[in-house]
Amino acid sequence: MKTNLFFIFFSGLVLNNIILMQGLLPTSFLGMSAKTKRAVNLGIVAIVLMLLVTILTWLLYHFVLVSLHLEFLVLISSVIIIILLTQFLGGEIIKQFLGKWRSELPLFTLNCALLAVPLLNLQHQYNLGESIVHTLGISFGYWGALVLTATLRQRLNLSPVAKMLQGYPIVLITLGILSLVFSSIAQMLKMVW
Amino acid sequence: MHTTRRLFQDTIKKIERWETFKTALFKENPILLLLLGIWPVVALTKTAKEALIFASITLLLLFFSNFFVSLFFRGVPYQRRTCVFLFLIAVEVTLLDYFLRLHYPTFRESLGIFLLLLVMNEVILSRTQTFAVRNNLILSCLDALGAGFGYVWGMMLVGCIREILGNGTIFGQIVFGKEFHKSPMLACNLSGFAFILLGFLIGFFRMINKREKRV
Repeated sequence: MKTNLFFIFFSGLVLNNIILMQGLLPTSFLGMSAKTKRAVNLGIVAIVLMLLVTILTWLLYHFVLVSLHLEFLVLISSVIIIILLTQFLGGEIIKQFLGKWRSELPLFTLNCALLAVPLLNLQHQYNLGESIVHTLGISFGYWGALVLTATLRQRLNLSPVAKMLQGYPIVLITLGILSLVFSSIAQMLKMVW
Repeated sequence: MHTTRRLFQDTIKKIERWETFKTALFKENPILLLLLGIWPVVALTKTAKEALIFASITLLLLFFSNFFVSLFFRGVPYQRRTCVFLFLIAVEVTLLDYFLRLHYPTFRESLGIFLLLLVMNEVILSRTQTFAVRNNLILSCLDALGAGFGYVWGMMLVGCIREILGNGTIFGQIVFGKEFHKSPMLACNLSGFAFILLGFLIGFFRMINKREKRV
């Protein structure tokens, strides 16, 4: 098992891309990727949220829950952190990062990718630096998948689609073809390494 | 007069219950028509057995969350519903997790972190928010069972197709003979194929649903 930081970043970005390789596709992703500009900005919101969730959950787990022998609360506490960040936080600190896009935060409440990030970090037993790098990889992978899907959907609006597949089915098929491309790229990279 | 009236009301109640169950099972099927809870269908359907396990766990969680919500949480104000119900589902999943760890530890290890991720399954939260808050106990339990069994058959459909094409087997039994079992279509084991299959299935079932409505 290689544990250098570049490999961790790259595995989050391409090899284990959270949407295209692992298939953890939240339903709100389909609504987010309708237009390119909105997708780019919502991807940045996702990056900030994933970083905050990772840091807060890591600190809470290693300094509070482990020392009090309350490891079974890890799921509940991470869900509470996600709820607090997405539903109740619209303050000045978030305004600096996100500007007007902070009103879109409730879209991320029911997001399986957002919950998967701290749980994956705990499963791999990363320290704080490693888990931040892993989260950066995952969140840039999320951003990339969002932007790729949005651009392809803009192109699909102009092209003739069979009547049966109009709407979300063609989006899912596009995502599937993207996912096959990503998995072939990952196979090639695994052969190189 | 009274007896006929009561009989009439009873039949209406029965019809209402049956309609609730049937609507959740077919006309508002969570995966194929409402597009809720896509990620378990994509990530957890490599084999039919895996799909059945996770779908039945979802059914269990759905039933208990609808039960508790319609029993205790009907007075929650509109703005706080998401937070309270999500917290409730997280508590349920934690209880299930530690029950499995105590009694079936090897089975729990085979599920991985995906058991914990079932908190973020959209089917459970949307059913509690849209149905269980407004209706009584029996109706919301029936709705949970209908939506849960709808989820089970939708997920089993994808799982069976993927296992037959990708491995040549179904529940471990060889289907197409040993020639196919030795050299199956390996692309069906990737998650990309699941996306494509799900897209075609959703398109197909939407078309059927529209045609029924027109008639």
